Amino acid sequence: MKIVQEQILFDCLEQFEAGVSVEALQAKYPHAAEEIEKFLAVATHLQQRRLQPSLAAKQQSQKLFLQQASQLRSSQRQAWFSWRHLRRMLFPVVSLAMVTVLFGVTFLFASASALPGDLLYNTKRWVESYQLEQTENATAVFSLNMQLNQERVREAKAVLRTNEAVEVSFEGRVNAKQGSNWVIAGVPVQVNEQTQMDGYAGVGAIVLVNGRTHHGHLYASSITILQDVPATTTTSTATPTVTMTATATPTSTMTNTPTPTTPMTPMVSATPTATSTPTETPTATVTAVPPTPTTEPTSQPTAVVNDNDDDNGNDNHNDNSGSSNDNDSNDNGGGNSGSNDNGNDNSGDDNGNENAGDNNNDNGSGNSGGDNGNDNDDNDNGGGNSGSGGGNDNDNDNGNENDGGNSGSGGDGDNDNGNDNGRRDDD
Amino acid sequence: MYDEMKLLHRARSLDQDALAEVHNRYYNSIYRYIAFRVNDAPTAEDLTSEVFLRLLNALRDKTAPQNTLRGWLYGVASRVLKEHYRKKKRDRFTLLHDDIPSTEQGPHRQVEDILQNENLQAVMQGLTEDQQNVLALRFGYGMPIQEVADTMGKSEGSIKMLQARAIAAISQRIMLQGALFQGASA
Repeated sequence: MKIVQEQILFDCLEQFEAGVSVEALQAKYPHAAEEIEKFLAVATHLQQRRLQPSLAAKQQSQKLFLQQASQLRSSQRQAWFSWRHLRRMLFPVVSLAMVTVLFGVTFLFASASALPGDLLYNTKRWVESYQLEQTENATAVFSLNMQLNQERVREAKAVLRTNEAVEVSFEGRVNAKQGSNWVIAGVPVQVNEQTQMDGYAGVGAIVLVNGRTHHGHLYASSITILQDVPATTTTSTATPTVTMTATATPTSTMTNTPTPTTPMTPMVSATPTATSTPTETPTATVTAVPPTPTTEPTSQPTAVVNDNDDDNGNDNHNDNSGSSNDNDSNDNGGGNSGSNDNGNDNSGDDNGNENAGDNNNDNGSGNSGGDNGNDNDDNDNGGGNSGSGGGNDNDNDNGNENDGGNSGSGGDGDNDNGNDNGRRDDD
Repeated sequence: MYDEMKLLHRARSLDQDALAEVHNRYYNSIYRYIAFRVNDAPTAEDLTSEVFLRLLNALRDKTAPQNTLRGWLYGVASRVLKEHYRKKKRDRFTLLHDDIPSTEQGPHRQVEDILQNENLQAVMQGLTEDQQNVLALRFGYGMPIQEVADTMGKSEGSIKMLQARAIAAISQRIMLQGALFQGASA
């Protein structure tokens, strides 16, 4: 038996199916005539082999098929309320509910960090208002309001960093004012003539700021005063604490008195009578007494007879975080003998960021920014060194040092006035 | 195609007329495809019925095809055949028929004599799976080359080559058998 090339058989089969006769193909490949004949005989047999099912078998099969279909249909009707069907029906509903819940939770979490101008910011505010509505306890409402306002302040700071232009609103205390630049709740705010204000908002007042950010600046459109500056700050300005030592020094007082702030230091007239009772000088005398000119006559005569080197080293360490400073008790310690009475009357420190008047106060580096409001106005220095027998040489070295640390806009002061009046009598 | 889609749509709701139409349309083709590869007609009939019952299961489980049944039914028939062969593994080695054809007949007659009896299935067993499938689809199911290629996921050229090789293998087997017969009769 010859092994005929596969390609020849393939070619023969194609041509045979196309209608070429066996004889023609045998003539084409005479060396493989016998193999081609049998090969094509098999192909013909397969093509002509029509396996037909019996009619009975076909009918039987169809009967069985339709019978099964009928049973299936009836069982499906019965199973309409079956657990399987119910599960199939509920599955999409439950899936949809789960997806919705998942999406909602994700949405709420994502909105928590949204800033004004973001898509989710309204959702965030809605959630906050809903929280407020659901909170019944008054304390909890107050606490939540505080928390939400802190969030507003945080948002304002964050928006300022992004340079976006959006509307912001928050409440806070006025920390400082310098021209049109205010600092409210730690946020720098630009106040201009377009800003609507319902009154004078001093440092320390609590205000509601509405404004718009633009290129990293917050321009206030309106400032509403929610709580004015506490009254204690005004009364404390009248208390004359630190200022007395400064006026007693002949050199420095002369230079300082002409400054425009002299109306704030009218305490001097009280000193002639108050030489022996420095700490008792009342606060009410502040406004009524005429200003500085009276200082010169009181200070001049003292420099002749007694050579008293008064070293009034007043170290007023004001750690005031509150609104009022009362430096009432100056302790003139040490050897003050005789009739020298260093009437240090350090009262009435107004922490108002102004060191005016006849004050030789050395407000050290701690007085920075707008938070150190030391107003050392009413200094009554050494008024009592007058007339104890002529010839008094009072070298008053009043070194007042206000080491700042006055943060905030006032408060209840804990003033530690360590006045050390080291006095030497040369006589 | 549109007609078949409508038919399938009705069949999915277990409409009796539609199911009867499906059975009538495809029973003969599937039977011939199966009969090409099994030994006897009753087995081919049983296996063909099994293919249609599986169609019902698919309709119930919503896994039935959406567009056309022809290819899907071929796939089911192929699986049914494989399962059948697995069950009949022990009977796999079928002996060739012992009838001795006349050596004086021409090649056509010899082929007829050998293949007319049940030896065709025995010869088919010696072919590869793909070759058996090509022959069953081409000459049993009655598919043209193009459709066989689509159904089996092969090119037309490879289907033609498979077909030629399958026929050549049968032819060689027959010639070998004929030579044996000649030797035996001599």
